[in-house]
Amino acid sequence: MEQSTHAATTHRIEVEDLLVEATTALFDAHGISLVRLDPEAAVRVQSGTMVTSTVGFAGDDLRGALVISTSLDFVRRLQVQLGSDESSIEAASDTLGEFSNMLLGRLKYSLLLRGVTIFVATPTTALGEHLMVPPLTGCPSPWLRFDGEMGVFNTRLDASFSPEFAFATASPRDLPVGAGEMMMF
Amino acid sequence: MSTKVLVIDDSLLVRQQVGRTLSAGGFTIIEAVDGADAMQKLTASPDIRLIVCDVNMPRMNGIQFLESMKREEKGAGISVVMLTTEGQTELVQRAKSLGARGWIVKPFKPELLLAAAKKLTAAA
Repeated sequence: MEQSTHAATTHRIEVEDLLVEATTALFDAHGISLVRLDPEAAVRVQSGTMVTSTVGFAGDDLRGALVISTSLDFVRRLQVQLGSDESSIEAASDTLGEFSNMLLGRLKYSLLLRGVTIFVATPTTALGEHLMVPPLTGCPSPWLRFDGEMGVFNTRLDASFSPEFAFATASPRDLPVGAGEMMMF
Repeated sequence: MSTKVLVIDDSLLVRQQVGRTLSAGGFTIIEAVDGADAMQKLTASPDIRLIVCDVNMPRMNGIQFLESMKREEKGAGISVVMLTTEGQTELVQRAKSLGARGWIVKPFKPELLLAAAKKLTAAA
């Protein structure tokens, strides 16, 4: 059962804010600056081949999927930035799939710090022209749009919250390992 | 002869990034796309001394791979470092209990991975 509309909307906005932070931090970690676009701002037209990647996730009180989408040109530039010389369609799909994986990993980390645990699936990627990814029925998920020198990058979180969903403080002994960190045993 | 490293990740991008980093440090790279593929590569190359392993992979994930290595007693003389987007304490502890020697959360810093690889293979 879904939460009351007000509570679910509040939680959705908080989690989307975490996703915005995670997106800019992920690209920043790769030396790429992205700025979130005002939802009302005019968006650069994206034509040509698009690539989209989706990763499902599930927890006790939160479940859904992360969707990211951008142009093939953006992915090609990203590959160059990462030092890849692969030009195949499979390599481009793989690159965006890995980015969706890392992005959801960062969001998972932020949620763990707030006492929310989710489990993450493996990504699925699609590529083509005129790609459409409609949101889940009853799931008012807006596209979060970012812009930078590589082009426009879009993320969306199709999340559904159970009535029991709540943020909490993670126990110090359960603090997760953060992105870029290394732990040796 | 250079030290062999098995890089297990379903992402070509990550296998290439790790391979480039460790090749520059003098290691020889063998790639596997998931845990099941890695078990075959281990059998084919018993002189592998280091494994860099993802967690979330299709067919056989990284934790299942560690379990399989332990069950089939293929881990002697091999150090395993997990390289993943996951940072959850339970998973880290599970990997440690199965014999992993390190845990790195992506994106990795090349100099740290190389330093860890050199340290672990020098001690082996």
